[in-house]
Amino acid sequence: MGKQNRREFIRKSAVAGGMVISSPVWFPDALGFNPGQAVAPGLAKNGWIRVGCPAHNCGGRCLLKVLVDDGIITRIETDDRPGDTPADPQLRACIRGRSYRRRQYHPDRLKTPLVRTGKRGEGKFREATWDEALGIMAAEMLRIRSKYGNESMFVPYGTGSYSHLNGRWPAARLMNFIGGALDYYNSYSWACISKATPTVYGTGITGNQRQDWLNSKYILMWGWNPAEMRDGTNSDYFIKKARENGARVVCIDPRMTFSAVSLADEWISIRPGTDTAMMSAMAYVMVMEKLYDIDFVRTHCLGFDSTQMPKGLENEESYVDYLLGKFDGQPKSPKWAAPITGVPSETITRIAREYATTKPAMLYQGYGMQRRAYGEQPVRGGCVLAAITGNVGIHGGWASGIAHQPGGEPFWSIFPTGTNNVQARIPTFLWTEAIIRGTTLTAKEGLTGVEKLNSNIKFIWSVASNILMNQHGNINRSGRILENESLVEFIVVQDQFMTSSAKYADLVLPVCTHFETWGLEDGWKYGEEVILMPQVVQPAFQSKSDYRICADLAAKLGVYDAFTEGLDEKGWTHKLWDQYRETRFHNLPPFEKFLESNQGVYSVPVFNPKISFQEFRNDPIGHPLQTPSGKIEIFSETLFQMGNPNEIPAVPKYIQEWESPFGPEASSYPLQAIGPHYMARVHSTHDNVDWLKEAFPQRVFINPIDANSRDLTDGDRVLVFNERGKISLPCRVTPRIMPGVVAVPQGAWSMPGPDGIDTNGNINALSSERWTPLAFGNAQHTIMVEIKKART
Amino acid sequence: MSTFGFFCDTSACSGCKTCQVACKDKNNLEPGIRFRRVYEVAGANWNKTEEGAWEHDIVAYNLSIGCNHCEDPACVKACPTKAMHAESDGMILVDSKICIGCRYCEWACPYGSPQYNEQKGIMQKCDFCRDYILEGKQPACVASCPMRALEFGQIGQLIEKHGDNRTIYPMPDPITKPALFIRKHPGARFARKLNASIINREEVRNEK
Amino acid sequence: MKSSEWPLVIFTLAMQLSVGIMLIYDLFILFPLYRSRVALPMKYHWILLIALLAAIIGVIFSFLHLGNPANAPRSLSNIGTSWLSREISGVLIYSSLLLVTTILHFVMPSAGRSLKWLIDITAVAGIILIFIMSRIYMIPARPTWNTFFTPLGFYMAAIVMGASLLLLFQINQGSWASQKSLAVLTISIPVIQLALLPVYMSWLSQSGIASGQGLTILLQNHMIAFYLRLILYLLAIAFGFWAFFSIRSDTTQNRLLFTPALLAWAAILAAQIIDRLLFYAQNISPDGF
Repeated sequence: MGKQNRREFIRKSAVAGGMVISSPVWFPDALGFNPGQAVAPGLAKNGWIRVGCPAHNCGGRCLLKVLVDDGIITRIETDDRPGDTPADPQLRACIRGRSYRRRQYHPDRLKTPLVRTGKRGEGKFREATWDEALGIMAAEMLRIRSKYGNESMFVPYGTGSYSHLNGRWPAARLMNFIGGALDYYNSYSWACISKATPTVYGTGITGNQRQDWLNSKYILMWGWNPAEMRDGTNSDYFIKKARENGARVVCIDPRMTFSAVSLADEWISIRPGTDTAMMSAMAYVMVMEKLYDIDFVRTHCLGFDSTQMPKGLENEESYVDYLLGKFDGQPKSPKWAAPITGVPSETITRIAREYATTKPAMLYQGYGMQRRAYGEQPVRGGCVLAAITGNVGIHGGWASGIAHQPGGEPFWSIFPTGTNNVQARIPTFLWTEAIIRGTTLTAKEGLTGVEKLNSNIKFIWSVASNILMNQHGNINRSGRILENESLVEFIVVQDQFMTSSAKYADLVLPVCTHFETWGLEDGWKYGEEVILMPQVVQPAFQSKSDYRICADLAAKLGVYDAFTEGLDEKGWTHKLWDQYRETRFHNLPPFEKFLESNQGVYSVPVFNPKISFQEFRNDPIGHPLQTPSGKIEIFSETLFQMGNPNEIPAVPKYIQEWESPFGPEASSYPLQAIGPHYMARVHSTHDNVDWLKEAFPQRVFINPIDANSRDLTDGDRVLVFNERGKISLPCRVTPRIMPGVVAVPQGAWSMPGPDGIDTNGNINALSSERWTPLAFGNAQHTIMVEIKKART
Repeated sequence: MSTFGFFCDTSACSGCKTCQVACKDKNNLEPGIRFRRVYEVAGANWNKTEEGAWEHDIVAYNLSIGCNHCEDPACVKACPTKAMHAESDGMILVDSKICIGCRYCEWACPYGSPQYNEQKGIMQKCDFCRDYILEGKQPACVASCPMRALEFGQIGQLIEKHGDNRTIYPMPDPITKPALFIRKHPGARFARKLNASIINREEVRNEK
Repeated sequence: MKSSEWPLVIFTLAMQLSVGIMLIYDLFILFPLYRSRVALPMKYHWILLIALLAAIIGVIFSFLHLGNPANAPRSLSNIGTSWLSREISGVLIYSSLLLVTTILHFVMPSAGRSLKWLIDITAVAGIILIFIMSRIYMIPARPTWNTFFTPLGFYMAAIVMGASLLLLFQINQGSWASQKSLAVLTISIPVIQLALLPVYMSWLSQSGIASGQGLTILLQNHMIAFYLRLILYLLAIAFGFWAFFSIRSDTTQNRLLFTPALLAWAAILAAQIIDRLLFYAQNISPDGF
C-alpha cells in the first residue's frame, strides 16, 4: 500500500473510530512510528527484505520476508526459497511471526524511559530522558555495589530476545566490566532434563539430526508437542514426513495436542506427573516378555539387573529389582500403573510391545513433564526405555533425553559476555530465595562457586525477561517480595511493553524490536543454518536496542570503549557472522556480500543425518560414554551416593508428587492444572497481539465430565483457584483434555483486579515456588486447583 | 464454472491458524474479519474403566476454509446488486463499489466465507490472492502453511492429485459445488457417530 | 434484548403490519360494507394513511440495515436470482400502490367506493410481498429458517397485527359483526401461534444439528424472551376474550371495548416484536460454519 493510501486510510479509520473500532488504529504513521527513515545500508529502502523472524524463546528459527514501504513494514511473508525438501526445508514462520506487525506497531510500545513515581508495583511512572534515566541507573548501580558488593547484583534469566546481541547478554557483558554479578545456571525450560540426561548418558548430546526421523518406524511423542510449541522450525513437518514413510506415531499426553491431532495415529491420555509409572510398567512388560534388547543391555548398560550392578553395590536395588518389586514388594505391572496413570493396563502393555518390537523406534520426550515435582524421573525413565530397547546410536532410533544435536549444535548466543569475577551461581529458579535469604543459601539449595553469599540480591536488571512478575512460580508471593523496597533496592526492567514485570520496576527502559536493530540467529536446538537479521526500520520513538542501552550505560560507568570495542550493532553482527564462518560454516559467504544478496538465510542441506552414540554403539569399550562407568547408567552410582533415595533414586522411579490427585490436597483441589505452551504466545511474549488473541483467546481447557459436574458450559467465565491464588477466565469445554486435568496456557500477562484475582488467566498465580530435588528446577506444572463458575 | 480451487489436508492440519493470520496480514484485516477460518471438530465418549483408568474414542481434526469459490455459488445468487459475482475464470469476488452491505450473502453461504467489514459497511472475502496468482505466486495462506497441508491449483489438477472429495463432517452437502478438495482425517468417519461438533465457535465466528 | 437485527425486526414487522392492515381492512371492513351498500365513511381513509405510515417506517428501517445505503438503487439488479432483489422490488411496488391508493382516497374522497379495486390490488401485492419476504429466509444455509413456519409466521403476524389494530379503530364506528370478527382474529391467531409452538419446537429438535442449536438458543440463551412471549400470547388471548365480550350491539356506545382492545393490541405487538427477535436469534449456520 502506497503512502497516499496509507495516510488516506488513517483518516478514514479516524472517522470511523468514533463509532465502531474495537482495536487500535491500524496504520503506524498515525501512531507516531517513524516513517521515511533509511533502512539497513545495502538494502533497498522500499521492497522485500529477508530477515530472521524476531527471536523470542520459541523453538522456531524462521525466515521472514518483510515488505518495507517508506520506512514502515507493510506486509510479512515467509521463506519462499524454491525446493522445500526435507534435506533443506523452507523455514516457514508460524502464526506468531506472521502476526508480527500487530506487535511491531502496537500502540502500547514503550516510547521513553520511565521513572517510578508511585509505590513499587503500582504501575505509576513519569517519563524521563535517556540521560536522566541512565544517570539514575548508573548511580544506583554504583551505590549498591559499594554497599553490598557485586554478589548483590543480578541479571535474571530472560529469553524474550534471542539474537546474540539483544537480550540479557549485553547486560551480562556490561556487568562483567564493572566487577561481575551473581550468576545462575540451568533454566526454566529444561532444568531437570539438562541435569538428568547426563546422569544416564554422560552428555546432553543424545539426539539425531531431524532428517533421521524419516528413518524411524515407530515414534512415541511423549509429552512432546512440536506443532504448538514449535520445538524447532519444521519438527512437526519432519514427523509428517516420517509418517508418510510408514512410521506409526503415538502421542502420550494429558491433552490431545495440536501434534496429537495432526501427527499421531493414536493419542493416549495420561495423568500429569505419572509418566514414570507408565514407563516403569512398559519396562516391566518388556522384562516379563523378554522384549528388551538383551544383548545391547548386556554390553552397553549398567545397573539393569542385579548381574550388572557397580562394584560394592551388588546388593542395592537394580532397575529390574525395582520393576519386579523385589525391595518394595510392589511389581510395577501395567495393572499397578493403570489407576496411577489413568492409562488402561492393556494399552500400556500394547504400547510396550509396539515400542519394543518395532525397529527402529524413537521415544521423544517433551519438556513439560520435567517441569514438575521429581521432573528428573521421567527424563531418566525415557532414556532407560530407549536404551533397553536398543534404540541408541542407530538410524531411526532415538536415545531420548534432552537430545542436543551431534556434530556441532547451534550456538544459542555467542555474544561474548566476558569473565564474571563473581564465582557464585544460584539455580535459575531460586532467585526469590536469593532475595529473601541469599546469605543463608548453601549447596543444599544448589548454590555453587562459593560456600555462602555475602549479600542478598539488592539490584535486579531484568532484560527481555518477564520472570519477575509473570513467569515465576507463585507470582503473588513474588509480588510481596518485590514490592518490599528494603529487599531489592533497585529494579530495572528493559522491555518493549509495560509487562507485568515492568510494573514492578523502579526504572523502565524502552527497547526496540528486532526489526529495528541488527542481529543473528541460528537453529535454536536444531538445524544447520544461520539467519541474518538486518535492521529494516528505525527504532520506534525513543527506543533503543539492548546493546545500545548497555553501551550508553557503559559510558556513564566509564567502560564504554572496553564494552563496545568500537563496534555498533552492525559491527558486532559482522563480527559474530565471521565467527560462524570460522567455526561452524566455513562456506558461509562474507557478511557484506550476504547482506547485499538479501538472501536472509544460509542453510546446509542434510542428506546424511548425524546420529548420537554411533561409535559407542559399535564399540562400547573403545568409545565409552562420559559417565563414571562409561556405560549407559540405568543405575547411577552418583545419584546413589547423594543418599536421598526417596527423592533422588539411583534408578528411575515413579514418585508421587507433592501435590497430586492421590494426596489429601485433592479433597479441596481435585483438579490437576497444567500450563502448556500456547500457539498465541511464546511464553509471555505476544500476549498483547490482537490477531493472536482473536485466533487463540486465553481459556482454561476442561473435559466435559469435569465441566458438567461443576455446571459449566463452554465459554462460561470461571474461577480457577487454590490457596496460592485465583484467576478468572472463560472456559473451553473440550474432550481434548483428560478428565481430572485442566490446562491454563502459560504466559498470559498477569492482570490482577482490585480483589487480587487475576483477570487474564496467568497460571502462575496458582503455581508454586517449590523446586525439584536434584536439578533445583521449576516444578510449576505440579499444582492442584478447583474450578467454579465466576460471578459475573 | 470455477477454474481454481483449494486443497486442505485435514489429516495434517494442526490447527495452528498461520494461514488465517497470513491472510489477515496480506489483506490488512482487523480482528473480527477472517477471510480464512480454522474450524476445530471434536467429539468423544470418556469412560472410567474398572481399574480406574480412562478410555476414550476421541475424534478431533481441523478444517481450514477460506472461500470455496463454489461452482454454483449461493452468495452470488443471493446478492441483490451483483456485487458478489463470478469472474470468467470462476473466481467469486465482491465488487466493493457496488456492495450495499445487506449481508445476505453471509446468510446464504454455507461455509461462513463472506465477512462483513463494519468500518466500510461492505462485505469482503477471500479472493484467492488474485494479485499473487497473476504474479505467479501462491495465495498467502497456502504459502504460509508450516505443515504444507494447503494447496492451490486448477480444479482438474487438484482432482487428479487428490480425488474429488469436497466435504468432510460436519460440512453440509456440497450442493454449491465448492472448489475445496479435502483429504479426510482418518477419524472423520467416526465423527457423526460420536456426535462431534465444531468446538471453537467464538474463534471462527463473531458471536452476536 | 440484545440483537444486531433491530432494523430488520422493525422493517419486517412494519411492512407486515401495513399489509395486515390492508388485508383486514379489505376483507373484514370494506367487503361487508360493500355488500351492505353502506356509504364509505371518510374516517376510513385514515386506515390507509396508517398503513402507508407503517410502510414508510419499514422502508426507512430497511435502509438502516444496510452497511452502505448509498448503493441501494443497485439492489434491483439481480431480480433474476436474488430473493432480496425481489423483495426490494416488492416493497417498492406495494408501497407505491399504497401511496397512490391513499392519495387518491384523500384527493377524491367521494370516489372512495369506486376505488376498492385499488385496495384489492394493493392487498394482493401485500400478500405476494410477504411471500417474497419469507423466501429470503428460506435458504439451505439457514435450516432453522428454511421451513414452512417462516411464511406461516409472517402471514399470521400480518393478520393479527392488522386485526388487533383495526379493532381499536372500529370502536364506536364499526359494525357489531366486524368488531366481533376482528376480536375473533385477535384471539385465534395467538391461539394458533401457541398451538404451533410445540410443533415447531419438535420439528427443530428433529431436524439436524443446527436446528437443535436453534432449540437451545430458544430455551437457554433467550429463555426470558421465550417465556415472556408465551405470557404475552396468553394475555393477548385473555384481553381478546375480554374485548369480545365487551362488544355491545350498540356499536356507537362501546366505551367498554376500549381498554381490552388496547391491551390486546399492545400485548400482540409486544409478542410479535419478541417473536421476531427470536426469529432473528435463530440465524444459525448449519453445523457451526
